[in-house]
Amino acid sequence: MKSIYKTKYESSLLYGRFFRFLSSKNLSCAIYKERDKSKEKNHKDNILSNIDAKIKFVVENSGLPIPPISRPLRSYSYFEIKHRKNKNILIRIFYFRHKDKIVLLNALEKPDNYNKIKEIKKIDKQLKITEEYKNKFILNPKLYEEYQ
Amino acid sequence: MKNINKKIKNKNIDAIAEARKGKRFQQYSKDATSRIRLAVEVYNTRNSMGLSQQVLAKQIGSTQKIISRVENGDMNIGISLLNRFIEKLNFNSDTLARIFNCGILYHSIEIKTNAKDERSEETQYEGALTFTAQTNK
Repeated sequence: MKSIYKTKYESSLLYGRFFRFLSSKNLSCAIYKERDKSKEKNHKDNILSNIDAKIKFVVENSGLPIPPISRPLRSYSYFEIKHRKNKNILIRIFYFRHKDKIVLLNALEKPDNYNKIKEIKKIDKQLKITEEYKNKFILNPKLYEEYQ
Repeated sequence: MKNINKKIKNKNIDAIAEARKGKRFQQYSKDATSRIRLAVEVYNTRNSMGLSQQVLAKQIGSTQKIISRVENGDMNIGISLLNRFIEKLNFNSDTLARIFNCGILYHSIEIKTNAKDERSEETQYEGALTFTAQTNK
């Protein structure tokens, strides 16, 4: 995959499942009617630009977890970037540092009220998947790049 | 088969690269970067002053939720709230310049010496200007 970033940090980013998250329909908002497609597009652009700016900030600081933008996770060995999509939904982007590069592993949408066991299990599952991805990447980074 | 191929192609479209083509993307990203810088400054100064989010919220006259949103860089704040942040967290011109990426702001420097300055007013003013430029570097 060709790198999408044209700025100076283009060589320092790698995409994993995060790329799939971006290309999925998760980010499009169903709250707008068909007439207001331009509004929907602006909203989506706003979310994406915010995510992009946060990733840039992390890259500028060489991937170090600088609170409040990025933090390390408690029981996992990678970091996360948070962005609020709506009042109720939070986007969590997982990444880790590998030599000079920052590897974007995965991303998910977390609802604020996730009291149900199903939802907690879903998030745990995603976290475990990202851990597996990380381990796979460390074993063979080239394979991982092809896998994208 | 054609449909399947289309689906596969769509998976490889990068959403951020697509969004970059939009007219407002650059403006949004500029806003986002300044919001992030503000968030980091607020977080760091609040921690250095030993204040919790709730205490700061009380002092500013807002809620804890708003401060957490500001610190996450998810909120566009107005001038009044920004003013209150500046007052309570003692932001100086350097921090504001860092946040808004606007280069050097005005510094007023008084040079106190015992000996009287016998230069004319114009030369004194020029000297003060060069001094500020040096300190800003």
